Amino acid sequence: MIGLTFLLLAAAVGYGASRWTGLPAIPLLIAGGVGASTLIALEMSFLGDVLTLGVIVLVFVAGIELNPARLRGRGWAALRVGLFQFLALGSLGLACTFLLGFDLQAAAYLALALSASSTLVVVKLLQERQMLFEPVGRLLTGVLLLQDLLIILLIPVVNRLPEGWGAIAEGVLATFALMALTGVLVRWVTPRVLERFDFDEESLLLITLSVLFGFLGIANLLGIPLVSGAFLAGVVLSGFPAAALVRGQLNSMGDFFHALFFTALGAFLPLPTMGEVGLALALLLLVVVVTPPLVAFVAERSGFSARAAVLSGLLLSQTSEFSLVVALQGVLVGHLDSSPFTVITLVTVATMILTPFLASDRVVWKLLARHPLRRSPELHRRPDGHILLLGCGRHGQALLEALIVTREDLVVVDDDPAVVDRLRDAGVTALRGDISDTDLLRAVGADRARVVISTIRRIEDNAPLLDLARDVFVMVRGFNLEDGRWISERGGQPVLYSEAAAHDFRDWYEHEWQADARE
Amino acid sequence: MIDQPLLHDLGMILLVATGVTLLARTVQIPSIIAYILAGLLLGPVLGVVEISHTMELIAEVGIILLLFLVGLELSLDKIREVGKVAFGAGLSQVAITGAGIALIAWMFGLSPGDILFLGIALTFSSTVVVVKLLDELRALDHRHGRIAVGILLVQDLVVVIVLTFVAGMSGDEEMAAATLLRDLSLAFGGMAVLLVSATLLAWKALPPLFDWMAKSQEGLLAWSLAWCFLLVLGSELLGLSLELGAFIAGVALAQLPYNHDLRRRVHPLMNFFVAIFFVTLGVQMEMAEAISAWPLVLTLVVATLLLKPPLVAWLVRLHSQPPRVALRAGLTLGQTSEFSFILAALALGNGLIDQALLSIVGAVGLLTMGFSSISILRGDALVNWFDRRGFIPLLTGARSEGISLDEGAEEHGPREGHVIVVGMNSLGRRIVEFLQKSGEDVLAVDTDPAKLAGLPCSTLLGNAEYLSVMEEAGVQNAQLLVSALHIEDVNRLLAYRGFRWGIPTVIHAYDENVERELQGLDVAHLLNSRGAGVDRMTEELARHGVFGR
Repeated sequence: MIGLTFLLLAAAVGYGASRWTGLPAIPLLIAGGVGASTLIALEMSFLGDVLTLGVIVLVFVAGIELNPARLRGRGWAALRVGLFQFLALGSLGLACTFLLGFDLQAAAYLALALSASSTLVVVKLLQERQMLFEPVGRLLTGVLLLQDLLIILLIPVVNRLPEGWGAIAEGVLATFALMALTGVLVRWVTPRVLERFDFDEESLLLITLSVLFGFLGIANLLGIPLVSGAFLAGVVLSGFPAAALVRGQLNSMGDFFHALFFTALGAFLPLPTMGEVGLALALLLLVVVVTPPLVAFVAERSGFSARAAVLSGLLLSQTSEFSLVVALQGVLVGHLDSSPFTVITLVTVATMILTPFLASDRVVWKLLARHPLRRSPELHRRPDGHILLLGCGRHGQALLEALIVTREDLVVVDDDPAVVDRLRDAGVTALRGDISDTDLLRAVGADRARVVISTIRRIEDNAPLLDLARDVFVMVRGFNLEDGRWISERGGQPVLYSEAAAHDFRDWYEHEWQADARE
Repeated sequence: MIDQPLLHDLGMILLVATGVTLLARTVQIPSIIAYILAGLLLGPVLGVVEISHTMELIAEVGIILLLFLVGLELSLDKIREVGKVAFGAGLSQVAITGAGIALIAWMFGLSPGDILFLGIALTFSSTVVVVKLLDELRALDHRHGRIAVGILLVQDLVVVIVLTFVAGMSGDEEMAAATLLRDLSLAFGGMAVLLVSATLLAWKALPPLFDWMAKSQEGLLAWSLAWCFLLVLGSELLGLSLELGAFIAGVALAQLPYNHDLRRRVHPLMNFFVAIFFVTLGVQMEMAEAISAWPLVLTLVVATLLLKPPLVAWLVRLHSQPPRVALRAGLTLGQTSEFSFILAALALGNGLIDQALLSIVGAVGLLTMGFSSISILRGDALVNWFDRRGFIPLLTGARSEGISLDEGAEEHGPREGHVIVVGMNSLGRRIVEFLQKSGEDVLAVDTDPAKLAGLPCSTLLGNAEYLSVMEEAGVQNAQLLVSALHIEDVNRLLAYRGFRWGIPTVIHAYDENVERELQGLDVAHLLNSRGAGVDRMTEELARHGVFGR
């Protein structure tokens, strides 16, 4: 009880520090655990049990979130970016650690740990910036899901590395067998069961956990690492409505075990030697220096704007909670001694702390200024007295048609190359670019237009526009009342989508709902 | 099954418990009995599970979370309301039942030591069983529920004293007396310290701290649990029970505005841990010697089931509570406590009793818990049946004209015909204002207390993903469910729930991808904010003469 209380207290301190500093919670939880272990001697068997349970629940919950539907057509881009980063960092990591004198298996563990980025950290940051459902958010989600999956598939391989190719092939085969079972369950069984029965909360929780432990049993039988079994058990419940129903039951359990897992990990961590710190620093540099340009390059080649690509690169430049899973798995089965484990934890803690600073708007703009391939706008002349439409998604179609009918001089800017191509085919002057880029705004004559209409999602991105086009009638899309205030203060004319939607609701309520009720 | 012993045992427990529970559901057997049966299957019958130290810890966490939840439900006013009846009825029930059980034991010719032990061990009722079942019935907040829980907590205090006595009753006499006195004063002093410090903190320090943390869901949960376990640890160090510490921690947080939200979030966690607790009860049971002493076991079971409820009802009735309330409180307490197991194990360890008595105590406990859980879950029907037969005056000593007094006005009926609006962004707030003006009964739901502030309608703080939140919102009786949220998973879940329950839904579809998913779910209206917004833009442009030149 004392041990558990101290871990929970460490978690409370970690979350408090995270709320106070705005840094991701995971590294601070680990630091809290280190703190707890200096105050009190925690039993190793207790920590081992907490870490075992914690890692199982962590991976299980991650599996539940693995839903390909989230990619929304960004699948190919996610595959390219994710695979490229994974392979490049993995092979660089393998080369470096092997050269530094680690044996093959330890080097493979280290490389695997370096090759993926953190779902928990990145998703949280995307949520805070309200970018989770934007194209770049979907790209990153896809990349992260893919990397989680790759790690889970590769753990059995690394696990059996010393036993030779036969054993590895056996492990891979067994993993594929379990994946096939998972596929059958998630595709056909889970939805039917949920369709048939209405489970109460307690039964749903019990069934969820039974799926988890059932898969652990099968994984054990097949000789696959338990974390892989736990992840695939999560995937069984990842479809709709299973994931949504289960999440309500599993949220707090996930939170509870997350808190315990990371603090226990901190408490489990031996004091690092200078050599380990040095190695961790070198690997940190590898992750932070190599990831951003690499990811940015591939993302841009996959059709994302320079800014989205650079931001993606920065957001992905950390190692993952799955790196900790990999390392811990190695230690628990006796493949790794504590030194590589310590190094991996140090790299993860440091890169996670760095991420919010690296992925700030300021750094993005600094890097963009040095972007070698940044395309200069491709207009023959600077337009004047025209209508400028910034952002033109599917819903902008009606507006676009109305604008085309006016036969006014019209220029459209969008960051989606597909949209730009379509518009050009239709004979509209269209440019691909980022509307928070002042140079681009100048080139498309934002300060000399008759009207500027901005329909882009992130309200803050309009700041350069409102700054530049002070004397122009600028209409800006917003959602909340606060957005409206923000836009008005900067001289823009807000059109609030929340107001429009509320109006839509009112129409529906008065004309359809109440009419139905009267009948 | 799995090489790792903890995962193996946990897996076995969960798989078997799930199987037995799902089977039991089909014949409407409560889950507590199913868990204990699963435990008997795993332990005494098959012998495949060993209770390790970590497993014991998990079971203890279950009890802690359960009592923490009870505390979270109670504001100080509610405690004051039932304090007197709880103390009065609780203490006298312990004395009378103890004497009755001792009498039965004497009639079966047990030794004086065993008579004394049984009288003490079997007089208490089970906090864990009662709270778990009242929670399932959502009756923790009803008057009979509060009285029953109050009585149980008073009994817990007595238990602490008894445990201190039993623990001290070994070794030589004089030393023992001195230690006993020291331990008892420590326990009472400790309780005072715990209560005073918890009250002071709850009053001054906790509200601003928790307010500051409230925005982070996982942070708030971690803080609450850390607070709970801190008090549990404190009460353990002071020689008090875990339950008491957890309960006080809960009461301290119950005074915060998000106690209900917190409660719902701890709830699934508690369900998991408490399931393990009940299964381990079954696993540890030794049945053989109880079976050979079946006449004594049977008599004790029948006495507990049939005599304790009317006794409690009568005692509660003496504190001028309505007869139905008194009877339901009585029906709730017709079982022996899990403390009897702990007490028996302790006494066996100190050489005060033999293995046979331990086994008897266990059997009586399991059987009374099982039967009484049925009478608790069917309490309402049972009381109605007594009422029709005119048994209530007989059972509670009430004069017949008192019967019409019912449970009081606090249990307002379920809400009906209201409109639930989830997500208090600007869109949600606008919709709420509009509906309120149109004369609808509106309930606004959000996870952020700041967003619910200043709304003209009733509000509910909570995450709409949780079934319990939607149930509390009375969604089955609502006429319409609206979501203004910007979170696609939750929107889709709400649409799905509305579809399953036949409640029309209006869902915010801000993204074309979302729209497609929602189409299969029979949504009454999709709030297409982007489409509506672009239309609005077109109108505005027309107003500014852009199209007219």
